[in-house]
Amino acid sequence: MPEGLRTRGGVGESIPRPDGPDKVSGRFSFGSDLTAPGMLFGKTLRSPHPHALIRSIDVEKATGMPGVKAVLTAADLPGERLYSLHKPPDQPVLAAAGDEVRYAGEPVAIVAAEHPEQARAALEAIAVEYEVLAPLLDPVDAIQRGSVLRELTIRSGDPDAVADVVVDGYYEVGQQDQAPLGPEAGLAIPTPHGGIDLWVATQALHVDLEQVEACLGMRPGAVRLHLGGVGGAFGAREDLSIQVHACLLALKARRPVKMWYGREESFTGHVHRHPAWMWYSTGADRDGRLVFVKATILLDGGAYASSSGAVVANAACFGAGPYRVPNAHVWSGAARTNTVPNGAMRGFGAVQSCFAYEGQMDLLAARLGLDPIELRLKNAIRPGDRLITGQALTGAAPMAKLIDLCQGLPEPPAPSDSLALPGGAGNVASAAEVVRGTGFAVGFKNIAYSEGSDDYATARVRLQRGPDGAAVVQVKTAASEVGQGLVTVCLQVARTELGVEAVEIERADTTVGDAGSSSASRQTWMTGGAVRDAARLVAAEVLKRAGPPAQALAGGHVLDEEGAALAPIELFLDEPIEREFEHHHRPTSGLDPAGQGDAHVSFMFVAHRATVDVDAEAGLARVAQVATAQDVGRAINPLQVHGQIEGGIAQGVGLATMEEIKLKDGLIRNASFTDYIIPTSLDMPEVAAVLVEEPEPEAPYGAKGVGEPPLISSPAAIVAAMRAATGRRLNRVPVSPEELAGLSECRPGWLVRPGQSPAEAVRPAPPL
Amino acid sequence: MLRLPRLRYLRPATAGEAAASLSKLGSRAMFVAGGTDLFPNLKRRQFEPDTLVQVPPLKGVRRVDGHFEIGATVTLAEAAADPGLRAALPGFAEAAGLVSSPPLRNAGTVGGNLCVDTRCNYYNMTYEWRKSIGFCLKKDGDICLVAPSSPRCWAVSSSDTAPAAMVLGASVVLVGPDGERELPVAELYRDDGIEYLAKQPHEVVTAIRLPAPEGLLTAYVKLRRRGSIDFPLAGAAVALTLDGPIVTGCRIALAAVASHPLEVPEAGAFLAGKRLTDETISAAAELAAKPARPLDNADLTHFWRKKMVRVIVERAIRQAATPSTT
Repeated sequence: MPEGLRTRGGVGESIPRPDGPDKVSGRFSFGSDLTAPGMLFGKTLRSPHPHALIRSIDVEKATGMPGVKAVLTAADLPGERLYSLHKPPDQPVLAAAGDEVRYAGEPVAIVAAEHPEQARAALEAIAVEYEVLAPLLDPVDAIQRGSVLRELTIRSGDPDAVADVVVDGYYEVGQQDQAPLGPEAGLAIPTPHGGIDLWVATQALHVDLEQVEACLGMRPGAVRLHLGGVGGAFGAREDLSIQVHACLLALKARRPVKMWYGREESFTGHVHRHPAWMWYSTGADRDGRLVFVKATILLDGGAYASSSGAVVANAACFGAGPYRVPNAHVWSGAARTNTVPNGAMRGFGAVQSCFAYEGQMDLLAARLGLDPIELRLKNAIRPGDRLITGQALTGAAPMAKLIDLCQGLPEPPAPSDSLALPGGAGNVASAAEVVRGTGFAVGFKNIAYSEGSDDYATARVRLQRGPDGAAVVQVKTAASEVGQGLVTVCLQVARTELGVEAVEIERADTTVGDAGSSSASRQTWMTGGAVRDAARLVAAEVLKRAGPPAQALAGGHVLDEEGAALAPIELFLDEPIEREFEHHHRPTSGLDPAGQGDAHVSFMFVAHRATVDVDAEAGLARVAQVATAQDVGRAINPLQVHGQIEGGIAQGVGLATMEEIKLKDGLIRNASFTDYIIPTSLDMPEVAAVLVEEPEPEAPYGAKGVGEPPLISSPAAIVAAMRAATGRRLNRVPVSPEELAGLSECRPGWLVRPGQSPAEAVRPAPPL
Repeated sequence: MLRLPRLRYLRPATAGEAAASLSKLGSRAMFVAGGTDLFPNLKRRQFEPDTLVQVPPLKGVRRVDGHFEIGATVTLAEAAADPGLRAALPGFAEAAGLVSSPPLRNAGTVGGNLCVDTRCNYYNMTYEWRKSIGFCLKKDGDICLVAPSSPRCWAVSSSDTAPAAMVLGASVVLVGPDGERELPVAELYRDDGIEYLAKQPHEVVTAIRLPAPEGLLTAYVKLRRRGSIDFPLAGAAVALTLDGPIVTGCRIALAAVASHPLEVPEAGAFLAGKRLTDETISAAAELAAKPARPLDNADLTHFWRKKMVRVIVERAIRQAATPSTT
């Protein structure tokens, strides 16, 4: 094809993202930048107690205060009183007098005022009388009292299978915050006819819409949601935060109301990654072939269901690792306790169990005297193999190739300056005190919704003449750009299908059909697929209008079958062409009582090798490099894939080395970025990444999702490297300096036989 | 988001006028220099003044008569980059360069870091959080939440530059409404989390004087988890003189293990007259760690922080001595 007829910037090219320049230069409008004339400021009164009965709420004094335009409690709710991602909903929009608050930070009342300080003063003036109740904080204790959000058992193969070698291990994963830099924010504006428009930074406009409509008691169509600029999400924006509250206040005050959380409030204003307690037993034959995996994976779900159910399933389904495991017995469950609800975070259950099963593989390798990488290669799952859920792998599953490629990546040089040593700029370590370790881990996870959900996304594509007469494409979806680069993907897809480089990605809102959530690494497949399919319908119409011998579109022209230009596309656009398409992925099924079923549409695989420099005396570590090979199906935009890999690894470094929400008596002790620390650029390792492109047969363009795998096994690899450097067990992330220095060890608070429910757990005997 | 309260902002032309303003307004007013610590604290309502009095520009790093005189509003970044300071007193320059992150060092001042408020993770929290758990002694409450049976506040001194100045025998110049006086840094602090400064509230620090005798060897080691931003979990400052292999003088002071920068004279005295060997360094570090009393009110466990004091003192002594031992 002549160069002039090539469509530039299509699928497969590393084009820069269209929103990039505005984001890096400060011109991009994030949710917290939203503004409207005459807007009020909304604020939330939250429970100071993790568990209490509300005896009474008195708002009288607050209502009369200067500037205060609305004060609302549960008594004022016009619609459903409960909301959730879970069905049936269980989380109160506002906790009611006579009912309980179930976590510290639960919303009790909301206020709108002319000035934020007036709203704050009004919150101070609301008198809530609490009868403090004992909080339920230990998840094992909760399970034993029947306080369970979901439990699930997977049984496959022979329950009595006997292995030559068995290793047992106990593992913990701390509670990680998604830490998006943009806190929760939105602006609600009442319409003249009693409806409401809500601009909000969210992961899923329609998922929010359904809940907001129900809680406002409004008919469909009266509420419209628009995407506010999203400053990162990572799962933190799947659940509602300000959505219903801002609308309620705006409707009451008949004024626009803006709500946005500060960093401290954000910690109680969104769900977090489930902390996990895991008991594993792994058996193999003398040659290192896995015989069985038995596991108990206990998650703390917090006070309300949120997405705990799906996280429990993921932790279990992927709980034996991307290996051939003929016999498995996995119990996975989430306890309901009195902490901030836990829910979605990048990796969604697969991160927690990966830390355990990969720790087990290293124990097994040591016991068998095998190289850990060789052991993984020997057991790597292959196309056609069955998962422990009985599902056969029908798509691309290049696990062994990923391991090979990853281990072959160049290793980093020794640290060349003191900033690259553990303790970094603090002058703590000199090269003499540093030991280097290398660790390896692999992981996998599903793409998109599972367990029988009808997963689909909608796109509307319009092709018309622009102001200068040239063809222009407009793409409209309700899918959230959360920083992952979906707008770039949609742009590239539209260019490729329509042969037109001028593509506008319109702002997402609910005037177009549902696109589902920007989660589960699904939007490249789902919304990318919907844009592709809608664009193909548009292209078909252009070709029909052009008539024979028109065959294809590229470089702004209609081409014949030899690729020669027949005419510019705009010639056929006297009438604009608009088509809409709903892209569904293949139906999945639920899991039966033995945890068996084709619950997932497709899987992503990944391998990580970490190189870590450890100052074992001080207990400090610096991750020098994370090397990775990732199964991406096909890279729509390689530059963006590498961006996702680096970002996910940054969060993996955080989980392995420092990030943990600390609770004391149910209260978050470190709700700020001073005390909840995340890696800085100085703590970020070099990333060496190789993409494996084996097209996924069912995925549009063969492209799998890429967002989550970088975070699944990078923490496990980093900890394996720390173990290699120190010889210590390190069975908990984040690894504390104390544990790394050998001054303490993480021991189970309960004894559980792997595979058994913690309902049977007993306390260990006290040390003699 | 957290907002600053409504404040009156005064910008006097001289330090004397600043002191006079504060003297007149009393506890309703506070000094502000770079504001990097004060502003977040105001947002969390840890202080509730109605007036801020800007410390006027007091710039310049000058070398006079064997010591350095640093203006109080010299930024931490300027002090860390000053070639004279880096050559003669690397320990102090390092300490200034290890405070927080580059943007904060570009605004934060040497005087501000010497006077920085003590910290505690029951205190450096939002108003709402502190209200949830019950207010503490340092603000609005009547007990210490770290040590409930204690009659005093145990908030921690987190200045990196204070111990580095202390081991030099530094002093500060204070200007009050009635004139100027000089106070040794060692006497600037009190062992109390609330009343942690011994100067009068209306006295403004205008300069710091750092003796820099020939042959003085200095180092500062800061323990923290990340390469940047974090407050010290512990810090060790060392100033050392050697006659050949023999220590002729040694001062050691610690950061972040007490409510004030903690000099440990026993450790310095132990080394005096001795040869620096693995054994003497280790013994001195043991002595230095003894009085360190970290509590459970900062990042990570106090157990580990206590253990690490010995480690970082050892390393700070080695670093200070490195030029002459290699």
